[in-house]
This record gives sequence, C-alpha cells and structure tokens, in this order.
Amino acid sequence: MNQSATCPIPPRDWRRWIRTALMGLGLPLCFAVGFAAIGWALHSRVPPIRARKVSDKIEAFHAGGDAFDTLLVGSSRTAVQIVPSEFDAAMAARGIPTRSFNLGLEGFRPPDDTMVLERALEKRTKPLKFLVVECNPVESVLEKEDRWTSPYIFTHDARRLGVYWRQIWAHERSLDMKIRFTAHLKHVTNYLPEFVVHFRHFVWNECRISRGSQLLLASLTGQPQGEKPRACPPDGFYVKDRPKKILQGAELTRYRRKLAERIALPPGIGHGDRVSQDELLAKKALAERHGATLVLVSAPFLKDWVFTIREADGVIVLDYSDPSRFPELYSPGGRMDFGHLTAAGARIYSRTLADSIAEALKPRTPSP
Amino acid sequence: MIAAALARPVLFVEFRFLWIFAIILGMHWALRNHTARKVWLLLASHAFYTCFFIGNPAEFFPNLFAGKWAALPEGWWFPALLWFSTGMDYAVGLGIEGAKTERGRKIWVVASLIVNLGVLGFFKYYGFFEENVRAVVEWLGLTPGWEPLRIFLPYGISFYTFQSLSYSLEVYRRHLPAERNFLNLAMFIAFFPQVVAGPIVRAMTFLPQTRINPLWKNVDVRGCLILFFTGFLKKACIGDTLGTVSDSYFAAPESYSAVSAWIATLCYAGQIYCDFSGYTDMAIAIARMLGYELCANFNFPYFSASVTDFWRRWHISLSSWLRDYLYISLGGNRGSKLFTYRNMLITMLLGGLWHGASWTFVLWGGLHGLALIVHREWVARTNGIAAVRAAMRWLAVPVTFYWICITWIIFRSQDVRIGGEVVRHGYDIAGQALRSFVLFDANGGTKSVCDPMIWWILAALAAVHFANSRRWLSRWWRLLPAWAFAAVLGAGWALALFMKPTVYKQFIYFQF
Repeated sequence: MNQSATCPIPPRDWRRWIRTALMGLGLPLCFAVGFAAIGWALHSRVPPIRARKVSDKIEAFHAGGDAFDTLLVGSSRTAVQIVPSEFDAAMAARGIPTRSFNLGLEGFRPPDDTMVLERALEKRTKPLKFLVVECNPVESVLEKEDRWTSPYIFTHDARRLGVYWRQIWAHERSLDMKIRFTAHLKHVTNYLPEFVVHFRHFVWNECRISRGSQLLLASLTGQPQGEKPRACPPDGFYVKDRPKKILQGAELTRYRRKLAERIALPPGIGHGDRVSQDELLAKKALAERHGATLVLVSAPFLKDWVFTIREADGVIVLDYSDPSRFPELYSPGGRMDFGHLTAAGARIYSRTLADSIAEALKPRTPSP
Repeated sequence: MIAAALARPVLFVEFRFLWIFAIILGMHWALRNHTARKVWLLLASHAFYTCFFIGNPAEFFPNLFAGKWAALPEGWWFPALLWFSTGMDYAVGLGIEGAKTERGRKIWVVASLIVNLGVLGFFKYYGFFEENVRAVVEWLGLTPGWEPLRIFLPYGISFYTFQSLSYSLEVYRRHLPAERNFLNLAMFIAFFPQVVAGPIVRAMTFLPQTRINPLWKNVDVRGCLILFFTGFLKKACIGDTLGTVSDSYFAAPESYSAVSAWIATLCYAGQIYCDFSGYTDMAIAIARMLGYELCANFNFPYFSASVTDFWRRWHISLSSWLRDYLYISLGGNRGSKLFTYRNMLITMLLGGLWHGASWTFVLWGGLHGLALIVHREWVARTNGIAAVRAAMRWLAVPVTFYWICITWIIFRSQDVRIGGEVVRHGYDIAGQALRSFVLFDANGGTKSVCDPMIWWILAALAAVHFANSRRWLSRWWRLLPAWAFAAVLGAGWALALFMKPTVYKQFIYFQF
C-alpha cells in the first residue's frame, strides 16, 4: 500500500515549524533535566541552609531527646503567647503532668508549621502526650519583607510546593460558600505570581543554591557563613524576644472599635478550603503516628471568621476567638499590639489553655 | 511587579535580569522594522540606566508628578545627563562637519571636550579637589570658610563620557562622518549592555552597526549562552569568593601575616580580573544576542610578558582609548625619548585618575607609567643579548605579574570612610600591605586570613585560566548535539548557582 497516499509528507515549511517547535520545547526540557540532575545530586549530599530560630528550635527539641511530651506549634501567637512553664504548671495542677516545648515561630502558618513539625518529629522515638496546634488556614502569600529570609526558604520542599500549587486553584472559603467565577479568577490571578516565588524558593532550597559558596567560605575563613545559630532556650520559649510595650494610640482605638464589633457579633466558624483541611489532616495523622492527642487552638485574636477542622473526631478543638467568652484574654491592658498578648496576658492564656485541655479530657457524665 | 523588579539597579548576575532581558530580547526580535527595534532598545537602555537612580518607580513617579522633590532619591535626575551628553555630541558632530574652517571645527571639538570633561570633572573630581584644597588650607593654619559639597557620582559617567568623546574626536579627525540620525547616536551612547561599566565602545565600531538591521540567523546563540555563563562564573562564583578573602585582609592588614598579604593580593588580583572581565563577557554576550558586537576588553592579561604587553591585554577599550586620543594627541613618540616618556607618564597618570578621585589611583597610574618607561629602556638596552632573552623567556611573565600585584595593592587600598569622614587613609593600608607583600615583614601581624586550602584553589584557577588561554576548553561544547548542550548547560548552571554567593558584591568598576 502506498503510505504517502494516506499520510502525505507535510510541505517543507511545516517541517521547519514542527522542528522549531520541538526544539523550543525540547531544549528547555533538556536544560531543566540537566539542572535537576545536578540539583538532586547536590540535594542528597549537601545539608540545607540554616534558618535563624527554625533550625535552632528544631535542634533544641532534638537535643532534649524524648524528655518533652507536649509540642506547641503555630505562629507568633504560639511562639510568644504560650509559656511552656506556665502551661506545664497549670496542667500539673490539674493532675496531668506534662513537659512542653514551644515550637511556635513568628509568621509561620500552614504549610510551613507542618514542615517544621515533621522535621522536629522525624527523630522521635517515644510517644507524645499532646500536640497543640494553632489552627490557621494555609497562607500562600508571603509578607514582602519576609520573602527572602532563610526561614521561608528553609520550608520549601516538594510537599509544600504541592500545597501551594493546589492553593492556587482553591479559594480560601470554597468549603463554606459558593464562590463566584470572577472571585475565583481573581484568586487564581493573585496566587499564580505568588506560586512563582514559591517555586524559586523551592529550587533555591532543594538545589542548595549558594550553599557551596557558604560552605567553601566557612572552611576557608573558619567562620560560619549565612545565618548564625541563636541559642535556643531549653523549652523553646524566647523570653527576650517579647517587646516590652503595651497597646496604645491609634492602634488601641482601632482595637477597641474592633473589639466592640466582635462582642456584638462573634465571629462565624468556617472550614476554609480543601487544602487547608488537608493540612489539618496531615497534622492529625502526625499526632496519631506519635500517639498524641491533637489539640487545635484558635488563638485569642479578633478575626472575621474562625477556621476550624471539619473532621473533628478524636481532636480537642479549643476556640478563644470570642471576646465575650474570654474577656480576660481581650483586655486592652493585656495586649502588646493588635494581635498579641503582653507577657502577663501570655501567662493567663497559657493557664487558660491548660485548663481547657484538662477540662476537655474529663470524662463526660452521661445526662440522666 | 515590573515596578518592583526595577526598584533598584539591575545587575546582570541577578535572576530578575533574566526575565527583564527576555522581554527586551523577545520584543527586539519580534519587531521587524529596524527603526522600531532601535527605538525599543533605546527606551530599554534608558529604563535600565534610570533604575540605577530613581528607586522604586511606583513611588518615584507619583512623587515626581506631585512635585515632592524632597521625597525623591538623591541623584534622581542623573539619567538626564545621558540625554544631555547625547544631545550635545549630536550637535557637536553636525557642527564640526558643517564648520567652514579648520578653526571652526576646532572650536566645536574643544567645546565638546570642555563640556564632557567638565561634567565628568565636576561629578567625579570636585570632592577630591575640594578635600585637597581644604587640607592645604588647614596645613597653612587657616580655617576653611566653606562647607563641603556632597556630590553623588552618577554610575557609568566615566564610560559614557569617553564613549561620546570618541565620537566627537573621530568626526573631528575625519575618520567618521557626523551621524545625522539622532536615534543611532543615542543608542550608541546609552546601549544598556555597556552603559554602566563598559567596554568603552568606539563610535567607529558601533555606529556602522546601527545602520544595518540585525538578523537572528547571524546570532551565535550557543556562543552567547556560554559567554554569559562564563561571565557569571567569573563574577559571581570566583570573583566574589576571592573578594571575601581579600576584603578581610585589607580591612586590617596590620593584623595579618606576610603569607596572608600574599594570599590577599593574589585573591584581589583574581577578584578584580574575574569581576571586570566577567561583567564584560556578560555585556558582550547580551549585546551579541541583540545582534550587536562590542569590543573585547581582556586578553589573558596575567600572562603578559611585560607591562607594555599587560596594557595591550587589560581593559583594552580604555587603554586603546587613552593611546589613540590622549597619548597620540600629546605627541606620542614623535619626538625625543624624554618627550615620549613624558607623554607616557601623563597618559598613565590620567588613566589612573580616570579610575577614581584618589591619590592612590594617581600613584597606581604613575607606577604603571614608570614601569612602561623602564620596560622601554630595558628592551632598548638588552636588545640582542641572548642570555637576557633566554632568561626572560622564563622570568618575564612572573616578574610582570609580581609587579602588577604590587600595583594592585595600591589600587585596592582606598580610604576607609565612615559617614563621609576618613577613618583610615588608603596610603596607610597600602604601606602596611606592601611591607608585608614585598619585604615579608608583617610588622607583628600573625593572623592568617584564610585556610592554606586557598593555595590549591588559586592553583586550580590558574591552571584553568592557562588551559583557556591555549583554547583547550573553548571548543568542545560546540561539538555537542543541541540536546546534550542544553543538558550540560543546565547542569553547569546548577553548579554555578550552588557556588554563587548569597549576596553579590557590587561590580568593582561600577564605582568608576
């Protein structure tokens, strides 16, 4: 059979175009393969960057061995507001002895906190009692000034990149309400450029960019390059980091106005989007793997809506977002700024948290 | 996003340059019309240059249009100097050509020299002049009755001033017709790959290129990619790493041992070469991608067999400029031996001063001038002596390199200023470093600037440099099939980025 009759040879121009198109796609692909191959080789042989505070906290937790049985995870609202010693004392008073470690980090929200948690628990052999996690939805948009800081680069691995990719397509309230197409489109166009930043962080972290220079200079000059280690307190709570200030001026006025609004109308509960729920499930799985009870906490903060887990079975959910129920946590005198408590406020919060956990663990008496 | 990308000077080594360049390149080749291409490149060049001065465009332009002058960054209007220089040279070119008499031509070219050099002199040397006058007045026991004027040096002014002067001088010498197309001249002066740190392109070599519409098929893409990559390697991976070692030493040379002085000097020699030639390689590669050819600036200068040879291989665009427009204008070697030597010395002193307003640069230029004279005398006196010729076959390169290193110490030893105040003089640093380097007397300093491993690194770099000078490394990648070349380039970039510093050091020649 004559092949050319059924499959005519394209004219010369077509062939040229096809060849150009194949080259246009194929050569960048080959470039990427070459880059990835060396990147992977470097990744497997060279340690990652040291991230200020993050690496210090993880190392301090590892150094403590299995002495700790409770881990406190979250953003600054955990890092500076839950005092492990206060928490442990209050738990002990309730007959539940604990030894807690504060793994909270300023600005760390999901999926970053999950990554830190994974790293902290990877060497763990003994079971945990409690895993206290600040409940936040996934946050893909990084603060401009934080973008190129080492803690953010440090958290960018393949799993986190996958989370950011899925977050592009999931509107932050998609499980709670019907999202209009235009709102969804706006979300996608906002998040796509952000993903490019995450992708660069991922390549930077995974291909160990600049690590060779740092290590070479460190061995040449005898001085560690990059982020200098910062001694971490044994319980992970940096007392000195708390600025000694109190809410005042215009910020106080704004706070009072918002507080009045929230007392009049307490925030609603929401489940965010599928990606954020999956992050909570990942933490739940980690807690189960390490024999811990997962405690999800909505920190005392004036929010418009409170994010919580959908599948709450076996999880203690504690919500401090309603100022009318916890007035002592919302007193302007106990506030350092709009979103954070003073040292005195943090002590109250730590004890309140311990009391709530102990209360939640009490066996319920069946009603007659 | 674009405003954020242009919020600070764009360096060729930065990632954001890649996508900015991708836009420039894509648009340039997408346009078919030659004039449209040139307009696009001119706009891109001025935008590139402007971002060195205005800060964040998203803040700058609202402040500018609102007339908030105090909120504008210092030197925000400097990009206008580039337009001024272009406009003036355009007028001068036409004026020279239109002049009826030789005197008329001379008046035009002198006007160009006065204005161009006047602007350069004011911005670059006023502070130096004022500082020295102040020192003399104080030395005489008087109190200076004026406040020092803080002048901010516009980036690239030394480069584009020399470039535009080359145009006026070539037109004056009838080597080139006056350019009637303003666009061509404006593009020649502002062309972004070379506007900030050279190479100093001659009007004679660049202007003819602006008259021919470049073709993509003539672009050696593979060669450009390799040249850009090599430039990046030199600047980011080698130059900046060596720079960290030399910076530590020159911050406090009295603390370090004599061996450290050697290490730091060799590291600085490597740094300045890699920094400047790396920048030049990238500039040439970028220009080639756009279809334009810039002149070469380096030709393995550390393998020079004499100082004369060194100046034929180091910063070629500047040394040839000085030779053609200064040395020859002074009379060159058309006179007695003493007359020639005087011209050589003046040329090198001014060449030193071109690098910066500091006595250490003048001294550096003077030492090179003296070395050129000594070499000339040496050649004249030893010509025909077979033993000398035999010895020189082995000694010429190391002796020349040793001398170059000595002069680099002086070049590197700049005043240390804190808040505008000199806290340590350059000559003090140079004195200490030279004592250690030449006499092996560290004056009590015992610290080591870095691990002895650096010797292996320096030896490896020298071996690669030697292999490259013999063209042993410059051909194999041409033989690879396209897919393999792309993969090897990708692998090379992964390694280069692994070795790049976390924060880049500024290009050394940006300050000139």
